[in-house]
Amino acid sequence: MSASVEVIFDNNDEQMSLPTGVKPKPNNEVSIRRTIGLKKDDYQINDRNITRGDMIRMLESVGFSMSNPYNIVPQGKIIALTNAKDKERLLLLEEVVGAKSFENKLQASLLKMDETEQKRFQINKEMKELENKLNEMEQEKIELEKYNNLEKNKKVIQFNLYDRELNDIINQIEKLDIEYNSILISSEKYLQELDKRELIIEQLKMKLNHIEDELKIKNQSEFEELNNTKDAISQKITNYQIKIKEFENKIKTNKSQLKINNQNLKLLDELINEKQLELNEIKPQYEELNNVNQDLKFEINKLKDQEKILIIKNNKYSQFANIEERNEWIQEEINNLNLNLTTLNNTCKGLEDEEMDLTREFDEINQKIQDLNTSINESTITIDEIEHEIKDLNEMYTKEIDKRKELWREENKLDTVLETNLDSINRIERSINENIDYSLSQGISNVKEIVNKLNIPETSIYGTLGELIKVSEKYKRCVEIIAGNSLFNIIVDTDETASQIMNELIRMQNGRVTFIPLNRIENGVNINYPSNEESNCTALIKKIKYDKKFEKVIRNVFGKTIVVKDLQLGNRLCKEFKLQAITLDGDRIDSKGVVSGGYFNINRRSRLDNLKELQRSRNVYKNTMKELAQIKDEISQIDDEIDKINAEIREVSGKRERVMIKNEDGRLKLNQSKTQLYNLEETMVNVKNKREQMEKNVLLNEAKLKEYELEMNKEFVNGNDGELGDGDDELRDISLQLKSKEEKMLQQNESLMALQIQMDELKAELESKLIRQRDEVELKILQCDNEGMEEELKNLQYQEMDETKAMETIENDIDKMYKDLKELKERKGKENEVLNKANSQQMLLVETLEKYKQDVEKIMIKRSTLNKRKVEVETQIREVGLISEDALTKYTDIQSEELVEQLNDCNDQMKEFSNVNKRALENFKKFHGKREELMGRSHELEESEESIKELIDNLKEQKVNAVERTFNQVSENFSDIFEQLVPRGTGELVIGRQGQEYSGVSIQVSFNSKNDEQLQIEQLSGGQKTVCAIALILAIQQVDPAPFYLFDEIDAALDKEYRKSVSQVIKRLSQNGTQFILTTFRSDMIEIADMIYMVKYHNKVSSVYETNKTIAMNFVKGK
Amino acid sequence: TKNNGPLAQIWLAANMTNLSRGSVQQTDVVESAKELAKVTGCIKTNNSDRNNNEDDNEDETFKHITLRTSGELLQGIVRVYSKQAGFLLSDIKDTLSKISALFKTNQRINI
Ligand SMILES: Nc1ncnc2c1ncn2[C@@H]1O[C@H](COP(=O)(O)OP(=O)(O)OP(=O)(O)O)[C@@H](O)[C@H]1O
Ligand SMILES: [Mg+2]
Repeated sequence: MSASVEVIFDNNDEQMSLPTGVKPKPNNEVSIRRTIGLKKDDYQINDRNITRGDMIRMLESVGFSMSNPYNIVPQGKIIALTNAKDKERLLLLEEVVGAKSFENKLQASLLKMDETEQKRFQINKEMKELENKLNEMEQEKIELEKYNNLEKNKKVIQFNLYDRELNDIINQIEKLDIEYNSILISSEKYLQELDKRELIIEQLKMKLNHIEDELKIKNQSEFEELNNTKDAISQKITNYQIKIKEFENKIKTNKSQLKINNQNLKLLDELINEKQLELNEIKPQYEELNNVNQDLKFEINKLKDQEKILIIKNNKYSQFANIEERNEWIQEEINNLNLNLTTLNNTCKGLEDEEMDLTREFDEINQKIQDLNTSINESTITIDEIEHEIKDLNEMYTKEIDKRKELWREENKLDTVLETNLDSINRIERSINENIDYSLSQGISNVKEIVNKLNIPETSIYGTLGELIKVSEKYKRCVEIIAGNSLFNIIVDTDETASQIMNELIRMQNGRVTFIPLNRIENGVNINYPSNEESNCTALIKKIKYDKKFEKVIRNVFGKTIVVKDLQLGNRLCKEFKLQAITLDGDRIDSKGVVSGGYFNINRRSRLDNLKELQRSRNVYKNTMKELAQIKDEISQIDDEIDKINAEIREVSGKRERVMIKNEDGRLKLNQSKTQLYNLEETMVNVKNKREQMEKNVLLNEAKLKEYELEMNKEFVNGNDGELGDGDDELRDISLQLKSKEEKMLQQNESLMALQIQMDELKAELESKLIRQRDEVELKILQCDNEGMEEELKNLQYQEMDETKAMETIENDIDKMYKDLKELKERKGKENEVLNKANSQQMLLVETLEKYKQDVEKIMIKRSTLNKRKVEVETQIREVGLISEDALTKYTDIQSEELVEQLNDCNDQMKEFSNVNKRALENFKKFHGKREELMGRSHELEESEESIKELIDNLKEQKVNAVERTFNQVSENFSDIFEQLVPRGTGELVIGRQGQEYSGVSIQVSFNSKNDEQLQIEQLSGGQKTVCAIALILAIQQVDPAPFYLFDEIDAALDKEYRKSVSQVIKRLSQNGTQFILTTFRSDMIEIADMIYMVKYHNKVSSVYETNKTIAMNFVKGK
Repeated sequence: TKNNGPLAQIWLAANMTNLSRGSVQQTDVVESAKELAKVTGCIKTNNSDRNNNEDDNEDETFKHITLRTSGELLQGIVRVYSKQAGFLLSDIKDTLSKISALFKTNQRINI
């Protein structure tokens, strides 16, 4: 919970001075805020927190003092001013003048003055001591000056000596340089030779490496591969041989089986023929017999019928009395016969029908058999086709498998190549890494990993600088030396890429690399090169080939380098053009003339070469990788193909299986149909026989019928007539015939039966045994497909031959490979020999060169010691410093020995001054100046003291005057204003004194007379007291005006006329720029007001708002 | 007004607790005292000159303001003066110690 109150002042006249740190507002308003909370109590000016003390000080600077709140009069407090004691009013007036605070400050100032007096005393004391010290210093100074003279002399001598030495040294160095150059020139020849040999060795090594690689490849993959294939082929051959043997055995057994079967078949055929012949023989016999038998039977039946008719005729006719009777009976018989005939005919017809049905069925079955036959044939053809297809597929399968094998071989080979390649890459990288810092090499190899891991495109990382430039053999060394480790700086496209990789590298905490982001390289300044013809030199950058992309980088690294013929030339050009120079031998001179390099390391392979080789190997590696991937692709493709073919084979085999089952099924059905047909044939014969029998019966019946009809037309004769005799004879005849015929029949039947049995037996043997056996044997013969087997066998033999041929070629290949390997090994040995020879020659060369090297090193050491001495002497000369011109010529004629003596003399003399303070002069100067300054300041202080004392006296006097003047002024004003307020009366402010001091201020007023009819304060009414107080306040206001006045209801106790006069006076005073703020319930103040505000209390909130005069008047009066 | 005149430094000295060494050294106490005397109207000749040039009313308000503040300004001047003395004293002591140190080192070298 907190509350705040804010007052805003217009500070356009800048009377109010803001505390330090508070900024004035643009419109020059000053807002003061106090915030009261439960715990804190904050003050703010222009929204800036300040301390309570600052706030009070600021307000006091414009006269708002806590001790004289006469410009703010609270409600009902106006008469307090009148009721106050004289002493209190005096204090108020003194406050107005500011005498009190002045007095306080004065006392504090005096105290401070005393303190300072003490300090001044001390200062004087110390000053004296300082003086003493300085005098001592002056003594030293004089000694020093003497010493300095001596030293100067010494310097001149020293300079001369050093100068001579320096000249000497320079001469020596020149001599050494000449010697060095001559050695260099003579070693140049050897070096070139060495280079050549180096190149040769390098080539030899490369060749050897290649041979080794080849050997490895041949040994590891090709040879092995060949052996493998050989093994595979021999395996195959043995397989084929086994199979061939199997087939041959099978064919043999099959053949013997076939022979047996054929024999059996022949036997069976013969048997069958025999039986058939027998049967055929028997058959006509039988048939004849049968016919005879039938005829006999027929005759017998006929005879029997005749007999019967006769008997009946005999018997019956006798029975009949007359013709009618007889005819009636005959008719009946005829009817019976007719009935019988019709049934017979019907049966005959039925049998005919049946026969026809059977024939149809027979035809049908025949058709079916034909169909089955064709379908079997068809399916056999299909099977053949399918088998063909399977064969084709199998061939394709083996072809693909072979192809895959070929590919596998290729893959294996490539793997070996890759491996050897990787080996060589690693070898080169190792040799590179030997030449560079471990962390750098680690970093470079890590960068590769990171690039792979982060999937940074290859276009944004280009590789190390060394990989990206091409240099001819001649300038390789220069480039390497100039570039140094920046050969291994990695060039990338942007700093973003670099930082990306860098962050990862930092995270891994393994390795260190330098990146060159292309987007960050500044275009270097244009470089002036000395012209070629004139200076016998060239810019190194012109000898480097590179991608335009890297121009800036290359310029940065190599731009400032020229290649020169020798060191002297380099030295001159370096200084002249501010460049660095390098000789072809790798000696480097920078623009300050420092020479570095000297002898190079012969045995070290060029880093640039290594980088180049690395690049090449990497390319090969990449290509091989690509090829390998392609082959792997092909392999997988062929795998798919093989799978597909396998599936097809499976499918086709299934189909064959299905067709074969169907075929088998057809055969079964065929057999069934054949049996059915056979049965049908039998049935048909039976039915035919039966029908024929029936037809015979019909004929018989018809004959009978005719007879009866004949009979009927005959005359009736009594039976026992003559005719009877006839009949008897006839009957006897017939019965005789019958008897013989029956006998014959019996005989016939017997023989027929015998024949039948014989025939049946034969048939049974034929049908159920022999034919079936023959069929079986035939089937067996058919099934044993010797031709196919032989074909297969032939095929196998062909294949075996092929494989044997392949074996031969492979063996040839292996032999060739052996030869190749041998040759390669021989070549390797030879090359090794050559290499060794070259190496030993190289060693010899190196040794001679080593000697040169030692010589050169000796020269270099000498030179460097001389150089060091030169630098020393130079610095000594510099230390000696500047020497006047005549000093240089002064000693030219004197020998060095003499000069040394003189120098020793000088040194001896200087020894006497060993105690001399070398800095005395400087110290003296320094402290002398200091002393002057301090003295001056001390003097100033003295003057200051005096002036302050004078000032204090003046101010004291001033104060007295001011108080006096103010008091007079106030009392004068009081009388004045009082008279204006109370025109009829008079008022006076009386200042009482006790000696020098003031004792109090009393008010003496009269309200109705100009005469001395003064009233005691106690006697005054409230209104009169108010008038007095107002007069006093306004009197003070004129002397010490506050910016504004706040009077709360000062008119509460005033009479109407005073209210009027008070308001008039306030109105008048307000014209001088002073602001009066009044609260009132009367109209008089409202009348003169410039601005009117009303306060309203509503809903527990009081609010202020501006209003106009009439409303205010109405409000006051209306109330 | 007070802040811009020659007495600005003095006013600051009167009101601020910490004064920088530089500003203290720069202040000319004698000048300041003269100026203060002039402003308060202590020096009669100057005062009469002023009276001729400017009207009385201004002069009076002038005086009244300065009586209250002249005390403070006086204190400021005294403070500056005291500080100056203090600085001088310490400077002298410093120099003395430096010199004696120098003597000591010299003696050491000589041994
Ligand atoms: N905004 C306000 N919030 C809380 N209290 C208020 C507020 N305004 C006035 N008061 C309270 O109301 C009472 C009367 O206030 P105040 O004396 O200021 O009124 P006034 O107008 O001067 O009265 P009068 O006309 O009699 O002189 C006081 O106790 C005061 O604390
Ligand atoms: Mg009130």
